[in-house]
Amino acid sequence: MTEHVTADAAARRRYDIVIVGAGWAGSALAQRLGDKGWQVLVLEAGNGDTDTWPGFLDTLSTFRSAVAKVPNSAYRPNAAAPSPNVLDLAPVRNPRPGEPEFTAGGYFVQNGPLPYGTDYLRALGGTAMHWLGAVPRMRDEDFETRTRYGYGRDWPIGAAELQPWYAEAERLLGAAGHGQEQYDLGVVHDSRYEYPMQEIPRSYIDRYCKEAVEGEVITDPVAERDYTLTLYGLPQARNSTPNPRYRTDPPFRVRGAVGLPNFGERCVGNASCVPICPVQAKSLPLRIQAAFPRSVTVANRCVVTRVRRSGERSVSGVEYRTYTDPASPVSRSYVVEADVVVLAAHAIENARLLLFSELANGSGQVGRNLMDHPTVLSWALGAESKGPVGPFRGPGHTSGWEVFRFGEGRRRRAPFRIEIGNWGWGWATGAPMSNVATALGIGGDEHGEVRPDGVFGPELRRLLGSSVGRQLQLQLAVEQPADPGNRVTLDGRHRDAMGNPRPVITYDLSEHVRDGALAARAVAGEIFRRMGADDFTNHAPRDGVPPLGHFVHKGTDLAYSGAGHGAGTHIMGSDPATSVVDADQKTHEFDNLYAVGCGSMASVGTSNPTLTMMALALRSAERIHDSLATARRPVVIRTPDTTEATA
Amino acid sequence: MITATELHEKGFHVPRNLGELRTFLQAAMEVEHLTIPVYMTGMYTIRPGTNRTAYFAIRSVLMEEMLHMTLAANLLNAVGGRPRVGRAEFVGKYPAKLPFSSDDLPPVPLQHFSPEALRTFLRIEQPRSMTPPPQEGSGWTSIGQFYDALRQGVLQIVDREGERAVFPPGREHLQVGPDDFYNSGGEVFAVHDTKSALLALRVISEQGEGVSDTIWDSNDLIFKEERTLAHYFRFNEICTGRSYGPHDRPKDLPSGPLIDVSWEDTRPIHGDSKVADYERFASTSDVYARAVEFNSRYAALLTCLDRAFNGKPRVMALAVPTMLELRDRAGQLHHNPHPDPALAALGVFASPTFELGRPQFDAAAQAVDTDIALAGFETGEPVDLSALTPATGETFA
Amino acid sequence: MADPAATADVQDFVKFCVPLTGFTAFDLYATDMAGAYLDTARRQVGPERFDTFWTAWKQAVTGGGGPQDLAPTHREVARALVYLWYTGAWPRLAPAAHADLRREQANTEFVVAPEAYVEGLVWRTFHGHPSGAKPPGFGTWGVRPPAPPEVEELRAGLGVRDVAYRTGLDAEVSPEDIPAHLLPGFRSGRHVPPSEVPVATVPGTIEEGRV
Repeated sequence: MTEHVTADAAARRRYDIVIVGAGWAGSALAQRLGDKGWQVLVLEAGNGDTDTWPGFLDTLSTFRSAVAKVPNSAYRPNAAAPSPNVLDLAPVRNPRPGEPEFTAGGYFVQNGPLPYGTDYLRALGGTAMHWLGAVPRMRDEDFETRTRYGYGRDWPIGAAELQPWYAEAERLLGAAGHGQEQYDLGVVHDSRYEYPMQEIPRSYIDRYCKEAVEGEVITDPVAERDYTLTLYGLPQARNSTPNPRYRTDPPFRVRGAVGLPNFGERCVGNASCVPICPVQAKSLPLRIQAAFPRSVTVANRCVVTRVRRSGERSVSGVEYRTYTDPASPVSRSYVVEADVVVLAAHAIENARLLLFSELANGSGQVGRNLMDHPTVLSWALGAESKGPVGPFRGPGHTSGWEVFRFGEGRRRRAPFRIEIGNWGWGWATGAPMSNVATALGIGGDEHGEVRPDGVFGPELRRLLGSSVGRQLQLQLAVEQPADPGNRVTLDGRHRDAMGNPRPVITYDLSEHVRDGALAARAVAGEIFRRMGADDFTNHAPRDGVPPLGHFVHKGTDLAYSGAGHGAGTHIMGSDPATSVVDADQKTHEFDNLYAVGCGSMASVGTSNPTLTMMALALRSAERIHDSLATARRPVVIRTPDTTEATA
Repeated sequence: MITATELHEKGFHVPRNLGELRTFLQAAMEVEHLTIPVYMTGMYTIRPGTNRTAYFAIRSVLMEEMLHMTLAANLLNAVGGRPRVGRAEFVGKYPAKLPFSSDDLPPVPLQHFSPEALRTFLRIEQPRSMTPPPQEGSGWTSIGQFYDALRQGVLQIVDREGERAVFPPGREHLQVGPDDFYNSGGEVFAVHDTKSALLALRVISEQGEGVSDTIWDSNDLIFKEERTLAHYFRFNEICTGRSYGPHDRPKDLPSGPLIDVSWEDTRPIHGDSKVADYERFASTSDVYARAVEFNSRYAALLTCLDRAFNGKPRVMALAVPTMLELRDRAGQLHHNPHPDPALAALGVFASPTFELGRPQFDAAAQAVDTDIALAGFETGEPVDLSALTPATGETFA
Repeated sequence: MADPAATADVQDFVKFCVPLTGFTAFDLYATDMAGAYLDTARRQVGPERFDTFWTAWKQAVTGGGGPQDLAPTHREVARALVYLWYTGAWPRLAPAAHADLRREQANTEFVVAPEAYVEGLVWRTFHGHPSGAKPPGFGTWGVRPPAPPEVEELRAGLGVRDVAYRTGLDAEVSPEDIPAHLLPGFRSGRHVPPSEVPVATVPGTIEEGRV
C-alpha cells in the first residue's frame, strides 16, 4: 500500500520534482521519475481513502444509496476541494429566445450560451476512479486536422512519434484489445501489434447490431457521403485473459484490486464501470500508486493554490493549503520547493492554477480551447420478434461503428464515433428504474392527480421483460476542435469554501460541431430504421422544459451531454505566441514548469483521451528525467586527456 | 465413500509408489473440496452489508481452497494420474468426518456464521505445530501432516524411480495456468517436475497453516504478492474479534486492534437439513425446488472443474460464472425461512444441502459437455461464451 | 426465545405482495428486504393509513379482484410498494395522493439502503443483474438472453388468479405494441429521479433528427 504523509511532513524537505494531482498522469509521472531515483512529491487536493478496503467499500455503498447514479455519485462531496458534478446543472423552464436554457450551481460558474456538462473528481486516483476504461488510440489524421481538413489545430508531434508511447501506456494501463483489428482501423501502425490482454468479449448487443446492419451503406446527409457500417471492438483497460502472443520480456501480469490482497483480477461483468468497478478489474491509478518506489511521497488533502516563480524562466515550487474536515475547510498554508514543478491536476484545474499564479500565459491561451466530446444520445426499442437484446450487462460499451470518424467528411462536419451502449436507456432516461415508474404510472399526471393507467404483478413483469429487455442506445461522441472562445477564466468574486477561485466556464458548440451532431443523430436514426427498431429519441423541450444541452440546428431539436473528456486548456504547439506548452508539455515560458494531461492536447479526435494523455505523460517523464540528469552533471573543469586527444 | 476417507482409515503412512501417490493426490483434491461447502455456508449466511471483515476473510480462504484443489489437480496430472471431480464419489456428506485429522474430532457440519462455525474452521485449518507429531501406522493428526507425507512420498519415489518416470512428458496440455484461474492469493502454475511439485505442496500447506512456525503465508516469497495471514490465523482473528499484530507468534492470541464482528448479523440455519426434509413442505414453499436446483447447479460446477482438469483448462471460464450463480442461489435460500414452520418459528432459515448423487452428475455431464462443444474453450484462445444459451431464466447461460 | 425467521406481519406482507409484484414468496424473501420494506411503507404512508390500504388490498385479492378495485390514493400506494420491491427506492407519489395521505415526509425519491438497491427485482425481469452488484462472470454479457416468460406462465408459477393486473387499460399490453406513455422519455437532466422522468413520446410524432 502507498504510504501517505501529512501536509506538514511533506513541506519539511526539498524535492527534485513536485507533482500536482494523483490521477492517471500524475501517478504515471511519479512512478517513472521515482523509479529513476528522483525524489518526488505528489500533492493530491482530495481525500485519499479509496486505496483502503473500508474506504473503497464506502464508495460502493455511497453509489448504491444514490438516487441519481451519476459518475460522481460514489464519491463523497468535499467542500475544501470541490468537484464539478453533472447534477449541478438544471434546465430553465420556458427560456427566452437567445437566453441560456440552463442554470449552473456547484463548483463551476458558467456564463456561456451552452452548458459544459462534464465533471471530474478531485480525490486520490482522480477522475479515473469513475472513468469507463476505454483506451482507443487516435489516428494520424486526428493530429493534423488543420492541414488536412481545414479546421481545428495541428499538433507539433504526430501519431508516428507516439506509437511506442502508446504501446507503453497500454502496458502500464493494462489494455485488452484486438491488435490486428486496430491495425486495420489505422490507429495502430505495426501490423503485428498485440495488446497485453486478449480482447474483452463483445456483448450480445454488439452481435445483435452486427447481424442487423453489418455492411449496410448509410448516407450521411450533412457530409453528403456514403459510409459502410463495419463493427469494431473497443480496446479497454480492463482485466481479461493475458495474451499469450504479447511480448514476454518482461511478461505482463494481471493486477488485481488495491486495498484488499488477492481480489478482483478479472472483469466479472458488474456493469457499473462508471462510477465504480466493485472488483477493480477496471484499471485505476491506485495500482500504479501501490507500486510507487520509496522515493515517491504522496500527501492527500493538499490543495495547491499557486506556483511560485523564482526567476525569469524558472519556478521554485508551489504553495498549498491543507484541511482536516472536508465539510468546514479551515486551512493552513505551506510552501514546498522543487527543481521541477509538474501540474497534472485535470485540464481545468491546471488552467485555474496557471491563471491564479499569473504564469506562462504570454500567449493568452491559458484556459482557452476548452474541449470535450459533446455526446448525442439516440435510443430505440429493438423489434419484439427479434427477442431481448440483454441490456445492462458487461462493460459500458464494447464495440462501435468507426467509419464516421475519418476522411473527407470532416471538412463538412465534425467527425463522430458511434458507441454501441450496453446499458440500455440508462443514460437517456434513467432506465430501468424509470421504466418501472412509467409502467406503474406512478407520480401523477400533469395536474398532480393519480394516473389511471398502469400495470402490476405478472403483467408488469412481462411488460418490463420487453420494454427494458429490448433497449438499444447509441452514444454519438462528436469531436470538438480547439476554439479559443471556449474557455476557463477566473473571477475574484467567485470562490470556493477555502477561498480559491472557482473556474468560470464559457462554452458553446461551433457550427462545425453542430453539423457533426446533426449528422450523427440522422445516421443513428437511419441505423435504427434499418434494424427494424422503434426510435424513441426525442430531444425537443417537454412542457416548456428543454433538456440540458438542448439546441436547435437547421430546424432540428438536438441535445448533447458532456463526456467527461475535458481538454485543451494549456494547448500544445511549437509557437510560444499561440500555445502554452511544447511537445514535451513544458511551458514555453519556464524551463522547469510542466503542465501535463488532456489540457495539452491540440485536438481530441474522436478517441477517449486517457490513452493519448498517458502516452504523452510517459514521454514527458523521459524528457523531465533527461533535463534533470543534464542539469545535475558536474561542470567539467579539467579534462587533460580530452585536451591532449583533440590537440 | 470418498477416496480421502478410505485412505484416512488406513492410518498414517507415506505414499510408497506412483499408484499410491496418485491416490493421495485424488484424496487431496477431495479434502480441499470438503471445506468449500462449509466455508460457503459460513460466508453466505452473513447478512448482506454486515461483517465485512469476516466476509472477505472467509472468501479469501475459500478462493485459496479452490487454488489448492487446482494445484493438486495439476500435480496429479503431472504424475500421470487422472483427476476425478465430476462424480458422486468426490463429494462428502455433511456432517463430514474430516480425513487426515484426529479421530477425536467431531464431524464437520454445515453451520451459519457463528462462533461455533469459526471454531470448526479453526479445527480444519489447525497447523501441524499445534498437533502432536505422527507415528507411522498410527492415526492421522492434521491436514498439514497429510501434505508433509505427500512431500516425502514425492521425494522418495522420485529418488527411487527417477524424475522422468514420475513426471512423464506430454502432459503439459493438462495443466491449468494463471490465465484460467484467478482471484485468489498466490497463483496457479504448471507442475512438470519435482521442483514445481514441491512448490505446489508448499503453497498449499503454507497458505493453510503458515510458514514454519509463523502466522504468515508465503505469498510474498513465492509470488511477490502481499504477505497475508495463513488461513488458521485469518479465522482466529474473526473468532477472537481481534487482529494480529506484526510480531505475533502462532501460539499467541492476536494482539492488534479489535475487529468489528457482529454475530447476530447472521441467518441461522439447521445444517442437517436435507432435500427430503424440504420436500415435505413442497406445497407451501419453493425452498424444496430451489434446493434441488442448487444441488444440480453445484454438480454442474464440479463437472466444469472435472473437464478443466482433464484437458480443457479454459472450461474454468464456465466454472466461474457457475460459481457466481451459486453465490446468488445460496443467498436466496439463506434469506428464506426454513419451510418447516416449527423451525421457522425458532428463527431458522433454509440452506443448500450439498447432496449430490449420480443423477445430478449425469444430468450435469450432459449439459456441461454440450456447452463445451458450443463454446470451444480451446487453450490459448480468447474466452467467448456467445454460443451458449441459458437453460432457464435463473441461470446465466 | 429466538425471533422467528419471519414475523406474522412479514409473512402476511409477503403473501399479499406476490400478486402485486408478480414474484413468488420465495423470490420476495430471497431479497432479505421484506421487513425493511414493510417498515418503510408504514413510515412513509403512516401506520394507520397503511393499515387501511393494506386491508383494502387484501380484500381486493381475497375477493377475486386486483388493483383496479383500489381507490386512487390506494392505487398510488400500491404502485409505490411495487416500485420499492422493484428498485429498492421509495418513489415520489402523485401530489394528490401525497396530500390525501397528509404525509409529513418530503415527497421525493430515496433509496432505502445500499442493500435494497442491490435486491431490486426489476433486473430480474429482463435476465439482468443490478448494475454494480451480483456480477454474473467474465464474458456472460455475450450470451443471448432468453425471452421473458409470458403472463400466463407467470400467473401459473405464482399461483395467482386470472384477473387483470392493470388499471385504466382495457387489455393486456401487447409487447409488440407498447404504448409510449408506459415507457420513460428523455430526462431534462441527470438530476431528475427515475420516478419523476416524463413518459416517452410516440416515435415519429415529432420532426426530430431529420434534415
